[in-house]
Order: sequence, then structure tokens, then C-alpha cells
Amino acid sequence: MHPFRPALPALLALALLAGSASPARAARGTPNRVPLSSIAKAEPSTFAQYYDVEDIVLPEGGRSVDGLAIMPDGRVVVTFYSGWVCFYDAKTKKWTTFAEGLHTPLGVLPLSNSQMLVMQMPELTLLTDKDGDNKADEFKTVSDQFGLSGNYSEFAFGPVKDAQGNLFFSLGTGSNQGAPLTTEVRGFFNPLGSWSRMTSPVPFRGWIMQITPDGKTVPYASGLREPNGLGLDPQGRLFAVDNQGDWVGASALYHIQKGRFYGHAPDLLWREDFQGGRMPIDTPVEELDALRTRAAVVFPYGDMSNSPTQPLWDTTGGKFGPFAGQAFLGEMNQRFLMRVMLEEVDGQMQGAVSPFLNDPANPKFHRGNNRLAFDAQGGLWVGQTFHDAWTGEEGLQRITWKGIVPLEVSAMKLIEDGFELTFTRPVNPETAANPASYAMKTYFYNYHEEYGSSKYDNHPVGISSAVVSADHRRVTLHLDNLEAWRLYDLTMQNIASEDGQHTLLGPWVVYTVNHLLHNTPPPRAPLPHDPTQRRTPRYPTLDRTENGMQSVGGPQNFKPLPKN
Amino acid sequence: MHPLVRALTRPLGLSPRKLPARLPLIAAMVTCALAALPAGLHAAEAPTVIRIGTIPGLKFDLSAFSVRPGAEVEVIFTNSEEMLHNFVIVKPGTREAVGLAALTLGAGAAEREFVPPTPDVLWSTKVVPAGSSASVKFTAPTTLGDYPYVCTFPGHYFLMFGTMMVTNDPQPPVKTPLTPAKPATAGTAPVATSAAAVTAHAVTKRALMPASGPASIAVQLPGGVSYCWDAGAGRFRYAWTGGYINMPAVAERFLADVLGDVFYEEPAYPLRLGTSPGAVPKQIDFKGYTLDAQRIPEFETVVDGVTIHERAEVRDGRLVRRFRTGGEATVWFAIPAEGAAGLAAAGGTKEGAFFKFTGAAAKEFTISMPVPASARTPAQ
Repeated sequence: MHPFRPALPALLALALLAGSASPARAARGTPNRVPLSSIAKAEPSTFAQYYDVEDIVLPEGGRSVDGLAIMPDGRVVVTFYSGWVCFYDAKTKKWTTFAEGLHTPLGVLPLSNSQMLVMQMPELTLLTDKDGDNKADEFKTVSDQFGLSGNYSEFAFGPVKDAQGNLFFSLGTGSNQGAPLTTEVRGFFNPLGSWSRMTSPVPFRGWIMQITPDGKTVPYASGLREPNGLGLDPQGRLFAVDNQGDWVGASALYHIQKGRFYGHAPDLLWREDFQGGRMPIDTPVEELDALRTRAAVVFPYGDMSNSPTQPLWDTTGGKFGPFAGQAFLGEMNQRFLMRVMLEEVDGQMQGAVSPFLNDPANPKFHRGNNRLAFDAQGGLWVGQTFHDAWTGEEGLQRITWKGIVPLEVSAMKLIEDGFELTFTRPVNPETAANPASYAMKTYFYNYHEEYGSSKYDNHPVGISSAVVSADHRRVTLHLDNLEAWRLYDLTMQNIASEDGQHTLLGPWVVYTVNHLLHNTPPPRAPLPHDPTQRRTPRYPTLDRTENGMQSVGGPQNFKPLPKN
Repeated sequence: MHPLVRALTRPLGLSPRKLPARLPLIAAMVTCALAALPAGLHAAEAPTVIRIGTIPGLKFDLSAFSVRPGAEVEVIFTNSEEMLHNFVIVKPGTREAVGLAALTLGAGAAEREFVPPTPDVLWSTKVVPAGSSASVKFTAPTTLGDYPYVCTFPGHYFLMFGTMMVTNDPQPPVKTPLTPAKPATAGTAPVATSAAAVTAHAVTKRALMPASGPASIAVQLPGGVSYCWDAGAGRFRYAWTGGYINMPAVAERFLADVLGDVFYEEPAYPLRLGTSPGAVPKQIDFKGYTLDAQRIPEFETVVDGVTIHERAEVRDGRLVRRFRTGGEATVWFAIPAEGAAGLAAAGGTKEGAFFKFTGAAAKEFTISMPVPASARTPAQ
């Protein structure tokens, strides 16, 4: 279903401006790009024609938006790097402070107009205003049942709450580039978790944690590195992003399921099958590879995404444009969001990603996009951060749809021998049926200990035909060859709406093919890769001498976790 | 000297545990300083080369260097830290204004290398990533004076700066000490942190604190006393007089500085529940805190299944800690072996190394200690 809401006067104005479109021919098989102007008189469409970007002035001293949500009464709530929780009233444009002095609060989940959960570095906290003065006066610890070594990189993210009342949060690993700041750690300390680039020397670093409705904290899934963003899709499936690094070939979006392992080896230290003095990172990579669940969507590293952030599903029912049911993700390094289109193939979630709000000529949109929230009017609030030395920017922006449907790929579905693209508008059938309008390449990222992966076996894939549906809304691309466990990177040119008024805004879509429709072959074995030079832990060994690490509080009575 | 006072005032970068890791850095700094030394004394006609680096804690490794008026100068800036930094020389007296302007650059800040478009900026390098260098060449001003240099990467200007002295009598560059003196600024964030000793309301701030666990809380009380509560261990750690804390610009990278003198430290969890003081609690769970009208926190823990509240305030020149225990028959408080002079227990009796509370006193009692006199008459 396409929730079209065209603004007629604007469309008429566009039509008058653009004159009559006269699609010209793109020479079949010509590798060179044909300038759009030669096929349609319409100017290339830009995001500014469809979306407004409003800058919100931050309160003085409110640094970096690290948590963002909409209160039931419509106020915006922001947690700042400065340790504050603040409300913004969009009507009065005024900021008020709800709480201060929090420890790196990276997430907020309102429960009522006077109560919210805030994820701080050391704990998940329930903040309540009990006396009605709009300031928190009760700070209840909901969960601190995870370890803290004092390392700068041990961030905590979330929470999200599912329909059954379960809360989920995620725990970043420590960095071996950071010296320990204290001689005391919280939680059981195991130095075997310290011998890697990103570390898990205390319980559950690199895990997704669940808090059951009765308040119990349960380790849920493992193998994440720095999962700065959790989200639930409309069906209640849990997703988390991760950042490229050791054991992570490229940044990605994972479908998180109980008991699964997602690849970052040091975190296995807290699993039952990795007990007995065994160092997880010494496990043969083939064994680790067999244990891991692959990402639903892998983001091409560098030009698409270095540091993805929170995924947020469009539940506005069309108020934000023709993307209901899809996910938007922040990206720290780019002046755009990412739009993710998922589908279930052969029982697994996988799908495609495309840059969204990308407008290099008119970069209204900031970098550092970190937290997202939809308000009741369908406006998308985007909070920005340059946390620490990340390449971000500080700010808060509200993105609103102008009501004109842009031309975009609204779905990319795997078929037997290629992909079916669905567009938000009928497309010019002549250029859309021309295989030369499409360029497809394919590659994969390797799984290994060293930081990040190159693109392997990167080569073009021939498009044997492009078939346009009768309603001109769908194009089926038949490929010369389609294989499992690879990324398929599609760029399009000369795709315009049938009325000639719109050009394709997002001509770059990358689909992660893990599974084929059926008969998916087993994944290829990891390619041999020179072993990383191990970093010597900067943590002293676990003895209780003056210079050792002393374990105080937190989950002391650590019991090895069952395998599943 | 109290052992904790020593611990808190010990140069963090020179603690024995960290020394090996820091040695190459120190060596590099000495090299830099030596390289810069003759340059500063050089004759006016030869270009003056200044090599400046970085040290942990958002610092340039030179806090000052001097050049002759009109000299040809090359500053070679090397970033040996993990964070991004630039090097910007500004007009006298404009460091804070330029630093603030860099904070509000908004879109396009990175493209501008975080250098604000103001005539107060005289010369600047691009943003230098870790392990890289950049240089800037210029002709020194002919007007004598102190020209600040500063890193304008957002948030760094509070701490990361120095002075280029334009003088007819150049001196050797001044190395930045590894243990800086207490910063002149009240805090590294433009708000919230205050060094003021007297406040009407308490301030509660979670931070990485020295000599405590990684889930710590610093409380500044009305009355000139601050203390550190360890939420991981669920206990009071130490108290000090004077100022509050100095939060680092990058909160998770550095410990907060204690701005004051520690006068009391509690070496271990103090309470024992039950008929004998021998049984050390097995499980202490931190449950959070509430703030009252003065925003003074009361901490809640569950100790071996028993809920215990603890609150501290300054009253009549004493730090008074109130415990509410929820109906135990007998509660004991372990008296620290050191630094416990003047410790008093209301409603309790001293038995050996413990204060013992029974009956109604076991449900609610106070432990108090004198606040050192110097802190009770803060400079106004």
C-alpha cells in the first residue's frame, strides 16, 4: 500500500516549471552514464523538495544528544552528554531540566509524563518526579547486573521495551587503547577477556541484556562490539547495530535472537561452553564462524556507513512519507540517514539499505546522527552527537515530510535470479526497462580478528533483463548470476517518474544476500587472514594485591551461562 | 598525611602502575622540549621553530613559549593522543570567546577544521588525527603581548591551551607539568560543575572518581562538604572539604578531580547486622537514591536482604550520616582504624572497634564526625 498524499498545488507548480518531459533513449549497453538532462527536462530531484529540516537550538551547555524520545504529552525528552535529562516544548521552544548529574546517559524511554527509564553507563535507572515539580526526585536502579571495568568504551545503550513488557539494553566492549582508570572493577573480573583489541574482562560486555517483566536481568545474546542502537520492528523483532572493528568486517544491522552469537569473539568468555580457562579469541575462526549468526543488513563501509546508530521503524502510517514499516538509522559520519528495507527469506531476516536525506549540494542535515524519534505528527526528530572524538556534530533537528511523494525504491525483494524493485511512483518504462540504467556489483566482507575487512571478490554482475510491470511500479532485474552470502550493490541512473516530474532520490541500494529463496548453500569458510598482533592487556592480573584489580559489587556470583 | 590524601594528590600519570606505559610519552615530551629549547633563543633572522605536542588530560605539552616580535615562526604540532586536536593562535584575551564560538559552529564545523570564522583567530592548523603532525608558519605580531593558543576541537578549549609570549626577551618554552595545578576554571563543562564551597542545594553527580569503584557518585552538600559514594560497592568512600569536583571534558576518559582536602575515608563496608559484629555482609545491592527538597540524596541498599537507607548532611559543624535499617534488632558500625578521631554515634555504645545499636536506635541512628575547621569558614 502506498499512502500517497500528493499536495496538488505543489505538483501543479512543479509541472508548470518542468514543462513536458520527453524521455530520450539511453543507448543499450553503453557503459557511460548518460546525463539525466538528456532524457528528462526535469531538474534532478532533491530531498529539500520533499522534506523540511528544522534546527532546534540546544539549551546552553547541553552537549551532544545521546538519548531522545517523545513524552506521552508530546514534549521531547533529551539526555545530554553533560549528564542532563531535559524537556523541549516545541510550542514554547523552551527547555527545562528534569534531572542532572547522570553518568553518560545514552538512552531514554518514557513510561509516563513523570517517569522514564534512562540508560546510564553504570546502570539502567528509573527516574520519577514524585512531587509534580517536573524534576526527578527518585532514581531507582533497575539493573546494574553487569560488569564495569572503568574503561572509557564500556558504554551502555537502550533500552527498548517489547509488547510483552521485556526491556532490552546492550553493552559495549572496552577498548584496549584505554588505560584502566581505577583499580577496582564492578563484577567478576576475568583477565582472559582482556587480550583483544576490544575487551570483555567483566561480565556481559558485548552482550544484549534482557530484563524480564518480573525484573530479572538475563543475558540474552552475545558477540556484539559497540552496539550503539537497539530497535524493535512493528512485529516485535529485536534488532541491534554494530560498528566495524575486530571480528566485525563492516558495520551492520543484526536481528537479535535469544542465545545467538553475532561474531565478536571476546564476549564468549561469559558463555558456559567457553569456561575452564579457555580464551575465546584463541578459538579457530572456522569454529567461531560456525557459531555466529550473520547480519541482516551489512552497510558498505566508508561511503555508506562507518558508525551506524539507532534503528527506528516508521510507525507513522504514512505521515512521514511512503516508508511505513521500514527502518531509518542514524549514521555518525554522513550527512544522511540510512533507510532499511527488510524481508524474510528462507526463514531469516535480510534486506537492503539506501541513503536517505542525502543532498550533498545542500547539506542542511548534520553529521553525528545518533538518536531518532517520531512525534505524533509524524515529524522525525534526529539528535546529533560528537561524543568523544567521533566525527559528529552536536544538534537536534526535526525532519518533516512536505506531503509530496518522492520517487524512491520502496521495496527490494530477492527473487530466484535477481531482485524485484518496487518504486513509490510509476516510473518511466522506457528507461526503467533498459538494463543500462542499472549497474550491479557484488562482493563480500571476510570474518577475522583484525579490525575491519576489505571488500573481497568485488566484481560487476551482468543484468540480463529489466522487466517493468504493467502498472510501471515494479521492475524485475534478472541477473546473470546470483549467489548467497554476498552483498549486491545496485546503482541506478535515468530512473524518473512516468510523469517526468521526479527523478530517483536514492539511486544507490545495497542488498545483503545471505539466504537464497531456497536451497541456500552453506556459507563460505572464512578466508585465511594474517593473525592480528595481540595487544597485551593494560589490565593487571586478577590478584588482590595493591596493584591488582579488585572486584567490588555487581554480578559477583557469576555462574557460567547455559549455551542457549 | 592521610593515605587517601596521598592517593588523591599523587600525580595520576606517575602512579607506579602506569609508569611503564607513559615512559615513551615522557621521552617524547623531553625530546620535544629539547628541540624547542634552542629555537626559542634563536637569533631573530633565523626562523623560530616551535615543536609542540600533547599529553593526556587534554593538554598541550608546552604551556608557554616565547617569540620575538616580527620573527618568522614555524609551529610544528604533533598529536600523540587518541583524540582529535587542532592548534589555533588567537588574539590576546579571546581564547574563551573563540573556544565558545567553535562549540556553536554547527553544520560545516568539521569542514572548517572547527576553527570559527572570527578575526580573533590569527593562525591555525587543520585538525590533526592521532599520531600525525601539522605545521603553521607565520610572522609573529609586532605588538608585544600574550597570545593564547588553544585547541578549538569542541569542548577542548576549557583545558587545552597555552600562551605564546611575544617579547623582546624570549625564554625557553615552559613544559606543562604532568600533574597540573587545579584548573582555574570552575569546571570543564560550561555549567553545572561549581567549585563553590557553599550551596543552598546539594549536587549529586555520577562520575568516575579517584580511589573508588567505576560506578561512583560525588555529592556536594550545603555546608562545604562533599563526599564520594560508591554505587558498585554500595558504600560511603570518603569525604572532603573545599570545592566539589572538576569533571573532565570527556567524562569517560578521565577521572574527575577532587577539588579539596579529604578528611575522612571509610576503608570498607561499615555495617554488620545481627547479634555478633563478626559477620561481614555477603551481598550488597545498590537500589538508587531519592532527593529531598534541598536535593540531598538518600541512598538505598539491600544488604543480605535488609533494606538500608543512608543520608549525609552537614549540621552544626559536623558531617552527620543517618542510617535507617528497617527493624533489625542489632546493628554494628565498624570504626575505621585510622582517621576516626571525633567519630560519634548517637544512641549507640562503643564495643571494641564497633558502635553497637539496639532497639529503636538500631532502626535509625547517626554517625557523625567533625568537619575540619578550615572548611567551615569558606571564603565568600
